[in-house]
Amino acid sequence: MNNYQRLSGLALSVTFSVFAAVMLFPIGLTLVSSMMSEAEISQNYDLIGKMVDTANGGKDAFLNLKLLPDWLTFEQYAQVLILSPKFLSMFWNSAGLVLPIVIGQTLVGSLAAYAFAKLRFPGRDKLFFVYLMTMLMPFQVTLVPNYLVIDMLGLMNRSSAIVLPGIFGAFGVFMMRQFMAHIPYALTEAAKIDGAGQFTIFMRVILPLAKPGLAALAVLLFVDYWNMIEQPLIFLQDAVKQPLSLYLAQINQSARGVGFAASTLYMTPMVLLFLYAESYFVEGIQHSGIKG
Amino acid sequence: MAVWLFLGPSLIGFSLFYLIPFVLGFYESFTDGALGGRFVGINNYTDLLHSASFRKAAGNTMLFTAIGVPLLIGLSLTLAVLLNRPLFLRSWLRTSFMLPLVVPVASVVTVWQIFFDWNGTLNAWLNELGLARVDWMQSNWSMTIVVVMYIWKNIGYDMILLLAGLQSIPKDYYETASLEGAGRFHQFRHITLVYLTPTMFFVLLISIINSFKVFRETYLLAGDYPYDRLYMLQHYMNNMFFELDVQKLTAAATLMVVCIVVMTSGLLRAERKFREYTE
Amino acid sequence: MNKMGLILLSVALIVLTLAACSNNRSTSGSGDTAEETGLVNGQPGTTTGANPGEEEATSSSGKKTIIFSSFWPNEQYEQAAKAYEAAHPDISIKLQYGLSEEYSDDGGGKQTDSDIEKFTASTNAAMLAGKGPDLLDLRYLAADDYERHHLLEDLQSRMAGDKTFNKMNYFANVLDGGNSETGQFSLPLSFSLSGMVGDKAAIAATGVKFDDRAWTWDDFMTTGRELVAAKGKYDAAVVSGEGYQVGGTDYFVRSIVADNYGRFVDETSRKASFDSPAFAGLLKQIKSMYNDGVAGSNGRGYFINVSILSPEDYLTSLHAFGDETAFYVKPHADEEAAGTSFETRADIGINANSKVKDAAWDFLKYLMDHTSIGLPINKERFHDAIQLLKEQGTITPPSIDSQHSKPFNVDGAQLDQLEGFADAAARKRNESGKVLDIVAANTDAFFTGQKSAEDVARLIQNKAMTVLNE
Repeated sequence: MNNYQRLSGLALSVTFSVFAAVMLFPIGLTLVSSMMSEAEISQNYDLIGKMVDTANGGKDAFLNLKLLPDWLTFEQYAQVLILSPKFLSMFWNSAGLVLPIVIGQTLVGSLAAYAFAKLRFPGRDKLFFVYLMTMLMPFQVTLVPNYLVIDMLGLMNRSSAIVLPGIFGAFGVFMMRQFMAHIPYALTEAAKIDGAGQFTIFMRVILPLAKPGLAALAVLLFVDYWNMIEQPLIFLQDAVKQPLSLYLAQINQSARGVGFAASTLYMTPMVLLFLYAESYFVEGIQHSGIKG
Repeated sequence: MAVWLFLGPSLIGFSLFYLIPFVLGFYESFTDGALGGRFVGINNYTDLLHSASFRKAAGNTMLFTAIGVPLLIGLSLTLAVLLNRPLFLRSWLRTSFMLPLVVPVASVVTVWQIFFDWNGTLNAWLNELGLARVDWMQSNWSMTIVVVMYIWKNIGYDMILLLAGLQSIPKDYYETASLEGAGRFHQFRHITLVYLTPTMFFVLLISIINSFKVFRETYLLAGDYPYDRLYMLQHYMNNMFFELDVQKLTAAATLMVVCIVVMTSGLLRAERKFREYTE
Repeated sequence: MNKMGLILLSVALIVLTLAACSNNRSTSGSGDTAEETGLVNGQPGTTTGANPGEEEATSSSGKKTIIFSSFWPNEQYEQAAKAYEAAHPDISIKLQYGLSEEYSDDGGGKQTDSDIEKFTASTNAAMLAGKGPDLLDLRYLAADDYERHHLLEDLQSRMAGDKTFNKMNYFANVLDGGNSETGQFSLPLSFSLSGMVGDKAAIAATGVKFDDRAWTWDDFMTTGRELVAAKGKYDAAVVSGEGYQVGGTDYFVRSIVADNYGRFVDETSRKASFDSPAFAGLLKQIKSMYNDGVAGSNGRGYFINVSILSPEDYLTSLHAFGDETAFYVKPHADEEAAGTSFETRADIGINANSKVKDAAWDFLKYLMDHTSIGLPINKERFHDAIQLLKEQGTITPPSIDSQHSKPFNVDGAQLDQLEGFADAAARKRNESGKVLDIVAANTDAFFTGQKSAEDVARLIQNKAMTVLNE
């Protein structure tokens, strides 16, 4: 490697580091602000959404971007965790909704994906296209009919009203099909010659190879459903059954300081899960994107 | 036979929770009531197309997709190409680009407010430069800001997809091209872009899906009636739901799905053509 | 073997799904207990699952169930329901709430907003699906939209066709307040009066004369300037805001723009003209109210805007703002008829898809005649409430800011005047609506001097057009 290359590599690294810092900034700012006292938060950020009279110094009224707290304090966390029992119960509500969806959709999705990727049947591509379409549709499209179906099944105001549609979402099928499509036919054919049935092939050959795909899918589903707002809003009327996503949308507006701590707690499971499974996740996503 | 055992569970649930509701909604878009309404033909569609707000929403959605998606893909491609080499801190960089993807929307809304508020940091900087304030969310800037948020969130995802695509291109293609005296740019156009195309189709699809998800940010930041440049189809549908206008809601949904079908099948056809051509 | 395995997997899957669901139910177990405690407190069923379902309506031995929903628990509704059930053994009434308890002070305003959003979203979805409660307290619900989509029963024909219903028993103008060209889709159980409490003594001292029974906004401005010019007890003619909630500009913006709504919004052609010089002019005029001191943004003025919610509230407001005070009618728009301005409260509608409409109508009549909420729509109940207050003799006002308030004596003469104001109720105050919300939310930037009137007007026009063209 010559000097020029080394230098350009270094310059690139520096540029990238700056860019990475910009990318991480919103997350970092949330984290830092979560460790400020309520007083400090309101001192710096109270002006959000306010109009200050120009007669009273409104010309120079700006909120103050504060990167480091004067005092490191965990009072916001205490407020969220101890003083607000709602938060914890909603945290578990969220987990109780999201975990079954992630597990269920990964399972159901891989089974169906196997059929789409490795089995031949009439109308296969058309059916897959239909799956693809529903994945692209925004939630509002089927809102009212969905309500009718859920009501007909007697699921209204039960967590199954969120969990069951979640389990049968199309994204899992789509992603796993993309992933399985590039597992070489040679492997499945070899197993077939050895006398294995489709199910054995699925369990012994496909699933182990699809591990990164499953991991990536699980993370993506987790993020997506951890975030959902609309479905619980309509299908879970009881406040006690509400997931955290709804709570946070409320708290951000009313109590900004607590909002930062709640936000941090809210994103922590996602971030940890991502860091833990990152290499699988990356590999899984990458394999779903390139054609084998 | 085995097919149905694999496909069965998914197909049943999928039909129940997605397909049947959609067909019901499609049917409702031709009636005048939510349930057991009279058949009114395409009346709802003509009403819908007469609504200036619907046309505006459709236009904005298209504009957002037309600007946001290519910009996102362009930027992630640049990143991917530059990152596709041994680099100091490479895995760290990758992690930081991807992290926004997993951060829940509601968690960072306040941060966006801090920047784009009337009293926000951006305006404070402008003020220091002696410039007047800009109402970022209440002007034509608003769409730019949402594009920025969209790119922030999705650039990592697209980047690693493209990175995988890049790594799947055999190195000797470039070596051969080099020996033949092809320049960097020539290599990029005739090798990188060509062999990246299959990945690109997938990236395009995922980016479009994710562009619809940006509604959550917009809604949390600007509410149900944002500045009209930011008013998208999902705003329209959401508001129609709260006004109980199922007719316009389902008609709008159907039109949107038709557009998506046309676009996606066009994309898939192009992909097939491309594959036949290269093989 | 192969198929067995698949079947096993499917079974495992189903079990897993079921386990997941039941697991969820146990996760929300804490909530169920909360509901049970709610029952102990005497709140029948806080379940909000909004599906009456046919089987419920005609369940056990032909007993009819009326589901009655409101945003939060109301004691009067519960008592009425119990009394009605006792008198009609074949009817059972199920009350349903969006919230299991009324908001106390610790719930922030914003938090209420999202609860309301949840309540409206779920009720909307239920109504659209042809389900939903039989009887609805329309508070926070989009009554206009329900009406437009024929989801509510037309009560006009009910009233006309029911001989037991006598319009003369009610405050007629208030009753007709919900009337529209296509019919009447809700009936109020109660109403409030909007106006001002004025410091009668201080006004008399300035010598300024006016006729509050007929004044327009222009008359009011003139009077205001005279009062300020008289340099009497107060600096301002009127303070912004309502009651103790002093400050902000949106009170007058809402009131005045609502009164001038027709000038800027053409409902038939769905066009707004907020970008016209006239609107910027109006904004500047409102701002001049503040600059001239006609409207103050803090402290006290000769007048204070109030909404009279009940006879007790009427006396308390008069008492709170001075020793010698009076109620004055709210100024009105030029083309409007004079009279007291009112708002309907506890508006009740009947679900057009209800299976028990006749029973619901009968219960609605019962509610109108037997509840006494705020200022009751039923003249007899109204009179009773006033009598009751006179007999009671003293009122202990609610404590404000933990400051203990002293009881004061009921002023019979003032109370008698209240009946006069109620009889004169003529103008329905309508200051809600998306366009007005947009106006109120965006004008602050102008009043604080952050943006020019023209910029603000342009922004309002931009958003209002989106609303109108939907």
